[in-house]
Amino acid sequence: MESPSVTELAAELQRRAEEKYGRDRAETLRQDVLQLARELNALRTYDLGFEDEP
Amino acid sequence: MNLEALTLTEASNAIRTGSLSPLEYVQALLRRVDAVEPHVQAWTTIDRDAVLAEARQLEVEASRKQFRGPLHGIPVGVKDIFYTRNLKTTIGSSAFADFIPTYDAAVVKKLRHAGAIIMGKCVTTVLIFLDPGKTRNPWNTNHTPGGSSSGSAASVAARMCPVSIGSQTVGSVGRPGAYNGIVSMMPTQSRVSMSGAFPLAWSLDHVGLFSRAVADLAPLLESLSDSPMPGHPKIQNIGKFRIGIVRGFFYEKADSQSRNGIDALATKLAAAGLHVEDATTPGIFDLHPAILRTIVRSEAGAVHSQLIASKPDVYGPKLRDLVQLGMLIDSTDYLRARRIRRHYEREMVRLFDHFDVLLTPAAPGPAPEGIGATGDPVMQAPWTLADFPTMTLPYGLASNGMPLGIQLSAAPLHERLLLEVAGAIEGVIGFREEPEIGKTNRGLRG
Repeated sequence: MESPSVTELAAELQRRAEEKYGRDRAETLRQDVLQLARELNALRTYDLGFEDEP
Repeated sequence: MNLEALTLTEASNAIRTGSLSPLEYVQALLRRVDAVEPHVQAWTTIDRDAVLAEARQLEVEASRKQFRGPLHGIPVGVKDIFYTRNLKTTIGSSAFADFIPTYDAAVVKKLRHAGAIIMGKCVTTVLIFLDPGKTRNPWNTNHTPGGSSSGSAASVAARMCPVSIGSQTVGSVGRPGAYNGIVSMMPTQSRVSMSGAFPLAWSLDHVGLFSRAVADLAPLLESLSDSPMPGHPKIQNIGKFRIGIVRGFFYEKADSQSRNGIDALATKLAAAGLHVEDATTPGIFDLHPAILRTIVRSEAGAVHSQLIASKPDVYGPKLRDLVQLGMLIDSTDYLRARRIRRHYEREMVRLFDHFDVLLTPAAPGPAPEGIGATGDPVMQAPWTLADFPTMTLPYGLASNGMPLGIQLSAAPLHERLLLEVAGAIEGVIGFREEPEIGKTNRGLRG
């Protein structure tokens, strides 16, 4: 069961994929998009200070 | 003298004493190429006329005791992502099939300055990612040589050149090094310039080195290094070296042969007098796949965004997925990954408060059967992200006769220490196996 934030992020990424690549291609990326959402969410919830630079 | 079997160190010494001519050496290696290349397919391009012409010139200079540098007369394979002036550079792709650069990459310039002969361009996977090239593993040609530095590793293992240059963004040096039963090194990124090489992900791309002996890496690395290396590594009292075996994640990913092999080797190293202990990674270690993949995807997306639009047909399925996923990531998330990477580097380097080097399996197991994939870079990924200089060494054979490797890592810019420890471990291991080229069924080894 995915967290709401992952589900929301995955939906946003899937929308981006459909806009960029079309529905058929985006569908083939769906599982990868979900994994990407999980990973981006993990990074978004990591504690960083304003002073932390790239 | 079996010239094809010479290490860089042996060949270099022989050239300097006059007992080996650069021309004789390169002619022997070209005969070796003729004999085994049909099985291994490590090369994209060899310009024999240019190689022989260069060897003749270096021979004249050597006869006058005029040596350009520590690599005088040494033929070196170069991964086909590094630009070579007037020599085709294909990046493993039909998109660049006829591309001939007008200048040398930084490492190629340094190799020439040190007196090396650019033997030829070694096969890379398609556009440096996971879609395989044509190269086969010299130990068993039904197995992958790994990638993306496929030809660089296979050419050295098959004794077509003593050393070669590759690159690593995730695991593209350590994995083929292990799969091919040879020594490899990925130095700290700032140690050797990637300028003039086609990128995969700029902030993670590292130059890589391949050889058949640890001793060969010091003169090669010194020739390529952008900053002075503090003297030649010497074998010190090995009892002072502290080795941290990292099990946990690495053992979960390794097969039973690899785990048992590392355990047995740890006992052997301790018996030889090295200090061996277990090492535990910090909590942020668990985040490394998310950090690494976000950076690789984003940067590869940026590298390829125009080419994939103009020439979509040159993209294999794996790279296409990577690039298109990368193009979905916005800058805030990419920069966040870069920021967290700094935290990761700071936390991980603390491991070296207690250890000189860390030891893990170099791959989940021996090179997998099949040439449709290049194996799993899972063992290299955490250290590449941390920018630890990392080596792989062969230590034994699996039950199917394929080589097994260990991976050693040190703190950033501590290549000298890494080479010292690796040399000591190499001496304890005493690996002497060689591939029988063309064998497709190696069978059990006694």
